[in-house]
Amino acid sequence: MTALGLNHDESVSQQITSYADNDVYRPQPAPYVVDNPYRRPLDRARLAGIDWQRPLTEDRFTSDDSLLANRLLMNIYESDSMFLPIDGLRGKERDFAAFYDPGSRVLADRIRPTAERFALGFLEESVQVNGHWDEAGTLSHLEATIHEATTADFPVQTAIEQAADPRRAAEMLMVQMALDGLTEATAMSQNLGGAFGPEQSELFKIFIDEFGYGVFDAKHSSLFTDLCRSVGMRTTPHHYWFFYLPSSIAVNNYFYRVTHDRTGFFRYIGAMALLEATFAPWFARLTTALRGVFGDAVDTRYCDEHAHIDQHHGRMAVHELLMPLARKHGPVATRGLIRGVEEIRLLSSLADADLLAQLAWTPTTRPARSAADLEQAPGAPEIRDLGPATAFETRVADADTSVDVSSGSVQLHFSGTGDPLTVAAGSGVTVPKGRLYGLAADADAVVVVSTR
Amino acid sequence: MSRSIRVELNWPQENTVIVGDRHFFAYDRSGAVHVIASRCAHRGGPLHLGRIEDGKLRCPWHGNTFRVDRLCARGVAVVQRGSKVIAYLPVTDPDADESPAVVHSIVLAE
Repeated sequence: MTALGLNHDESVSQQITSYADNDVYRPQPAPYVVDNPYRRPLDRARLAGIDWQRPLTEDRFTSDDSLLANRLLMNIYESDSMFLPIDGLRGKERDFAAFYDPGSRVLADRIRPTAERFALGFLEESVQVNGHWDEAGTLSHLEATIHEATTADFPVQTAIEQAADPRRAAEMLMVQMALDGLTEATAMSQNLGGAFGPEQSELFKIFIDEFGYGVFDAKHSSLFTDLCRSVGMRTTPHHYWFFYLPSSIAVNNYFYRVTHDRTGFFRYIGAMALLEATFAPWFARLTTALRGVFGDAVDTRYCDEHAHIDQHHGRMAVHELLMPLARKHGPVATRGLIRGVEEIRLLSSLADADLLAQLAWTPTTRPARSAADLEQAPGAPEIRDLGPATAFETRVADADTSVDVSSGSVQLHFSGTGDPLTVAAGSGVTVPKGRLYGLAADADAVVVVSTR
Repeated sequence: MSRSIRVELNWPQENTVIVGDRHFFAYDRSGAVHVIASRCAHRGGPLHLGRIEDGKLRCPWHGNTFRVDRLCARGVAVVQRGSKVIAYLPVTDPDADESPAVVHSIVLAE
């Protein structure tokens, strides 16, 4: 069959690899996706290796399978939204057609439930909401949760300030934020239609703030673009595609999941309300951290806007949206609202832990492992030939991993910005379990990748 | 609007909440922890000392039986993340000192 043709007899796994065959998801040698919102490389071979019937568990949340599944899901969800190149469509018409191809969209609908269950299904097990939730219990839980979140430490901001390379660390955080920041409120927009009473209008009030009241320069995604530009980062969606951590993509995907599935509406409102109610101090603290790293040149209006408006959004989302929905729609709605609160709490804490571990990792070279060492490695070493035409890819180390260069010279990428680490022949580097990395070579090189 | 009392249990080491003369016990139903008032609707018997058979809990005093799924549905509001269980108990007397005690005690309703 053709890449985007439909075959009802295919297994889901085969359909997933068929979906990944789309021209716009093909590999590329460059570590960045330049000025093309449709190009989102998927590694077909690694996707084919996933056992989709064995969903991720909480302890496998930061894994290579998680990275691949969440990238796949992001493409599925985002092909529901409109993307046009900033500099115009000329020269990219075929990519535009391929990204929104009807056959691809049908495949996406068919594989989405499996991918969702695989990537995010563990939330059903990890979060339990039981018993009878009355208004008092619901409000008590919200107030306690918001208080806990708004009076907690801000470990990511502190980690940036204390990092060996604070600029690289701050930019790595901004790379993760770009997932949502450059398309802000897209998931929210999917809940604006229909008819659900006064709460629909309350949601719209929050939305129009996010969209800058129809003024492009005031749109939150424009403010985020200005923030990135002010520190010299690229501002087109998914320029840093390869450097999203799996947990960051998962948080973004969660909001698409609970909006795409209309029965997830209450979970969406719960999750959104918690974030809106807790963002203000988080962003105020981020402004301080960014000023410390970049000085006066950084444009922090994006953070300042959130530090201000989310004080209002938090109140609006809890008291004008969430609580009225709970009162009006009863126990199923209330449990969904509380489930959303708890699910985003869990995902956020997992994402923080993932990012903190990535920021704390500063790879250094060491002498390459000897043949005797390699013989004692738990699995068979993998020999990879790299060169300027080799497809670039990042992956998450599923175990402590050794990368040893046999010939040539290799660049180890470990963050979205900053120079990669150069590893010459006879040297190696250790990638700790759970860390995202990519290998590239300007000239022919050979590396041995083994688990430790 | 009535208030709630928030309690945190480290399950399963802590399985009981006592508030004044009210007693609540934690019950694990297929991995989901429920916190149930241990007071029989008949004469106030200690449901946590009852046995569960065929999906029904039998009160140890007079033998009345109650469907477990319904007891769970009427349980207090609970959020569970692993061993951490947060429960919200209804306040019955706003003027009374209702400081909750979280303890481990004998629960036969398993």
